[in-house]
Amino acid sequence: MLRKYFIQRYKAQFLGMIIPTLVIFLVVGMYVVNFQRQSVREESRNSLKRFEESVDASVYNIGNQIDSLTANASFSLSLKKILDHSTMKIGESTVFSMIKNFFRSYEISYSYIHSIYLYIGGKDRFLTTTTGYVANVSDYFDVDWLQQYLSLPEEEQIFTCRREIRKNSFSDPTPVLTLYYRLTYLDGVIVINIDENEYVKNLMNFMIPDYQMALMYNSRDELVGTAASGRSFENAQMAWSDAPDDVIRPYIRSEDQEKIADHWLRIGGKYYYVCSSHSKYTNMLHVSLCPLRIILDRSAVYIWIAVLILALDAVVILLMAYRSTRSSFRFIEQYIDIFSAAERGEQIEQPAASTEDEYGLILNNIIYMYLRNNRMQMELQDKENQKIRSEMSALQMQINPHFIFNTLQIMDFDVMRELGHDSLVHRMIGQLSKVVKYALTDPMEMVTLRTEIDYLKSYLEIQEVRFSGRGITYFEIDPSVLDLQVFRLMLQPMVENSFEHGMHSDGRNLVIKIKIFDRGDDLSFAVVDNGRGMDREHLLKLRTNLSDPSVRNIGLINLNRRLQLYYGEKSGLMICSRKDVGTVISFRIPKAKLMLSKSGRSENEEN
Amino acid sequence: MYQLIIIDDEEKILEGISELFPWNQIGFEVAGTFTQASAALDYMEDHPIDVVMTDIQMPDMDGLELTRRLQERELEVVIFSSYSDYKYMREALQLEVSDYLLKPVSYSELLSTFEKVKGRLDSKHAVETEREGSYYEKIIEQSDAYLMEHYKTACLNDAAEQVGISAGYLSRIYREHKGIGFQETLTRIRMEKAGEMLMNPAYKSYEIAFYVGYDNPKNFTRAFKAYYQVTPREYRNGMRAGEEPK
Repeated sequence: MLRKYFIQRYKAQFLGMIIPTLVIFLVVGMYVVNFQRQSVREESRNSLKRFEESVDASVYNIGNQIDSLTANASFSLSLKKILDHSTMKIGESTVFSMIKNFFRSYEISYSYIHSIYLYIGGKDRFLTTTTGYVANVSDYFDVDWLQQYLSLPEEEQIFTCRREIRKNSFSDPTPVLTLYYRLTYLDGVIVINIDENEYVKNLMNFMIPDYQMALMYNSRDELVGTAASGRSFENAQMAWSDAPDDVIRPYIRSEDQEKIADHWLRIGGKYYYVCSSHSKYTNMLHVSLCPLRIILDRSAVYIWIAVLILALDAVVILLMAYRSTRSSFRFIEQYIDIFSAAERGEQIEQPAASTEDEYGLILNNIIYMYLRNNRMQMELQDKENQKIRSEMSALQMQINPHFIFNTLQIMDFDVMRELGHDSLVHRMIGQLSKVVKYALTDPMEMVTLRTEIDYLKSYLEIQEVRFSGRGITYFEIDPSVLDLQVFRLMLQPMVENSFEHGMHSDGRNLVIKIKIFDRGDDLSFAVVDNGRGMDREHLLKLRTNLSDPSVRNIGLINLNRRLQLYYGEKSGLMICSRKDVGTVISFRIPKAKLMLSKSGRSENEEN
Repeated sequence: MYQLIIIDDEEKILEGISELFPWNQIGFEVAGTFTQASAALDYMEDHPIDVVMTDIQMPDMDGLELTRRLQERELEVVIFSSYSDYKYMREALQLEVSDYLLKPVSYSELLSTFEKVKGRLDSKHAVETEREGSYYEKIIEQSDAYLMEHYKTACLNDAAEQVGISAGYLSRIYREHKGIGFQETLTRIRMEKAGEMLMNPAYKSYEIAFYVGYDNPKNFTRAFKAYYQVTPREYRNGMRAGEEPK
């Protein structure tokens, strides 16, 4: 019961609290996701921009400076001379050392620069930042750069490609990103080799840690470089080796190029934020990829907090539901108790008013008044019923008690005259007179237990004659209880029951024991017999009938009602019986509800 | 002999009461019986009467009204009625009647009531009754015989009825003339009987207790032990073993 109420209450409270919480979480969550998206976009674009700027800056600085120097005719001439002859004049060596200085400063400024070449068309020699600044085209370890340059179309001002440089046949090749910067005023080129590893390392500084990948395409849409920051790409790079490239490539130079400018794209089953920018200066396309996971990962803390709050919520609601269920259940139980007590006809005490709760106070008073009314009505009804019953019994007889008493008197006289004082009939008339007198007296008048027992003995004597002495009765009674006041005919219905239903048919004696003991707070009454007893079915039926107000005119049921009316529900009859073993009928009366006999008048003497 | 008149509207009852009670034996003489209160009043005009016993409800004048009219005379009035109404009882008490008996009147009640009435009359007239010793012996003999037969249900009232005197008087006769009280005599008879029954193994101890007039086997055992100094069980076993009980 409690459990059911608790679960119901918990459900209701949980839903009541969880729905608004979830709505709040949802709104905040959407805002957070949106914010994260914005910030991913912002960061991606920023890093892409800086990334691009760093390339642009190096190319611009190196290419543009040298290119602008060649605009100077004497510089170009000196340069050509340096390349043509191994010996240099003063002017030439000045130019040479200037170029050397430039080269050196570039190497210092841009750590990722592998090497810079300056080549003038048709010359066998070229300037290089490696091996003594002047090298022969024919015997230089890096060879394919020249062919590449020569194959470039005239109008191609800047070209980028990916190559490998191997210093000698037994060293590992170094991957480089090579920029060809065609000189404006001379037929020649500046070749900037960027060490890819170093460069990527440098780029990492601009990138969103752990979550960004950058792709670089040259003017021919060839992938010339990739850089990925962190763990989300470590495996991904292997898994979709060139998948991003495959996905991005169709957009490049197509009408859809806008789509990779600032969009979320699906690559290899995952979503990425893609943005790109085209550097006019280097004629390269830079593409940045950022996985959706970054949003999830960045929101993880937030999600954990949300889950924690929810869990906390659930626990708090659980406790609250438990507490409120307990308290309201106690409340309900209290009223159930009161109502069932009222149903049983017990005296109802006004429930303790809890001043903390004004509704409880009002409810208490209403219930109390209702119950008291109910009880008063019940009592009234009961008294009325009793009156009707006694009138009924008189009416049923249609006989004046006078008539009975006078008749008994005359019979007695006649018997005495005919049979003397010694006869059984005289004795029986005497006992019957006592019984009838006792029974026809006002049933509301209380008597002492002594009187009740005395009357019962007269009754028993008649029964003994009726059953030819086969009923043996004896009393076990605490002498201290004899002067207590009880209502009339309290014991007789139980004893009568033993005689009527217990008498053996095989001639065995029926033994009936009448016990009245003082048990401290209670008086306990019991009539025990060794009679025929009842089987379970009969016993259950009798027990049901006991509490059925519609059943009338059965001594035990009437007795049960009177006991409960006078002494409260708990004083009702208890019946135990076993077939062929016997029957015990008992009840208890709280001593507090008994009045002590005031007069203690002397009774007929006892045996 | 004190003069008594009885008034009841039922002749049969008048007849029964006047004939069946040993009035002479207890010191009364029925001077007359009347079915009407007025007739009784008329009679009393020229006859000295000590006691009036009257019913309450009667056709012409009821018993209480009669009592009221007799208040000036110093008379003993005994009411006997089938009304146990509080109203009547209260009125009767206010009229200071001697007693109020309820019909059907039992023999012993009547005897004890008139014993008291006689006692009051005796003290008023300063009479001392003396009787011969044989009178008491006869009473004791009669009473004992009754007890021997009816030991189970017998009580002082019953025995007194049998010998036609009041219970109190019988008790005194036993004490003063037999030397053993009535109750003790009855107990002796019961114990002798119980002793006999114990020798018959068909009876259970509690059955014997019941048959000799005890309503509680424990009381029986206690009385038995006091009388024989052994319990009923020991008594029975002792007999079986062929030993004489104490």
